[in-house]
Amino acid sequence: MNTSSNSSLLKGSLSVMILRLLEDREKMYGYEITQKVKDLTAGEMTITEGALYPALHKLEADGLLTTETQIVDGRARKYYSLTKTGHTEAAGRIAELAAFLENLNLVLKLKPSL
Amino acid sequence: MLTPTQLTTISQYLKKSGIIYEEVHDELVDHFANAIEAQMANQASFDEALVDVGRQFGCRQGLTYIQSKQAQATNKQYNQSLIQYARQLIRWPNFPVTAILVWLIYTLVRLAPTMLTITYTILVISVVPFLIVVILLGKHLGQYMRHKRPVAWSLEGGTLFSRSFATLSISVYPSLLVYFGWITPKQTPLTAGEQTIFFVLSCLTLFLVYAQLNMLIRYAKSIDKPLTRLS
Repeated sequence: MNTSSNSSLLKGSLSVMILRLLEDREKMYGYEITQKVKDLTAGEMTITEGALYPALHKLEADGLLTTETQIVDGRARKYYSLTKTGHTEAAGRIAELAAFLENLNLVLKLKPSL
Repeated sequence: MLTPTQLTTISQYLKKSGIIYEEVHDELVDHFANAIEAQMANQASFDEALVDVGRQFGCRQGLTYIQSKQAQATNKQYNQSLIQYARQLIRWPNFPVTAILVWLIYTLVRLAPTMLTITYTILVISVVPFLIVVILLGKHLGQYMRHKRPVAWSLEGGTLFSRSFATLSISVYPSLLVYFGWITPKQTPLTAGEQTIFFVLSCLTLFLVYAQLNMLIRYAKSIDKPLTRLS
């Protein structure tokens, strides 16, 4: 699977992936999220920066994420974490995507009829 | 770890690519720095890494796309905050205070001798957040001039500027028309219909002023401590 072919598939599930990662960790910054996804999928899946930041900012504007800035190595680092609404919404969206994937799998694994 | 000069080079690259807002700039500088550090650990030179990371972002087009999306999100966040403040005001335990204030506005509007009295009062009240924004933007700009901030403009400050100006306009335009003599306001007491219109207008303006002042406190705090010190 390469980057260009899975980018359109990624689009819809990107915000759910962000929510899931933040459920696990208290707070994360943009670059850390891209690296975490890369690590988890052994480099098979890459989140493009051009999609990550708009997704993060949209989730923030929707009130699902909150941010705090810390100075690290002489630069301002913006950390994202889930809000209370974010936690509730995350559970719902993850369950929704999981159910969708399950159904998608049923269709994809369709055995050829004789 | 990158040197301050290298961080400045990243900052200049971003500015040349059309990044003009501090919130976008700071976040991208950190991302670029992280990605470049990772590449340099794999024996790449700083310059090569910078070009490569810039390419990953889609160069100028990709970077300004992120900026425009963030500007949209900031606007949305402003609207969401307004809704939140409105909810807070009508919920317990704030509801009795809100009700008393609304009743007070209603009484004052009924007592007002002419419509100009109300317009001028609204004008004076709604000019407060606008003046504070102007002072804060000036302070931000001053910090930029003294090299305490890498970028002159902020998305949050810009949004608050345009929104507080819009609130101010509710009373500025009618006042200007009267000032230039293009319309002559009635000097008689208000009719019931006019009272209703001015009552709604007063409530709306006061609410917007209240919300903007709250949001300004947050922006003022971010000005108080400049985050990055790039020369």
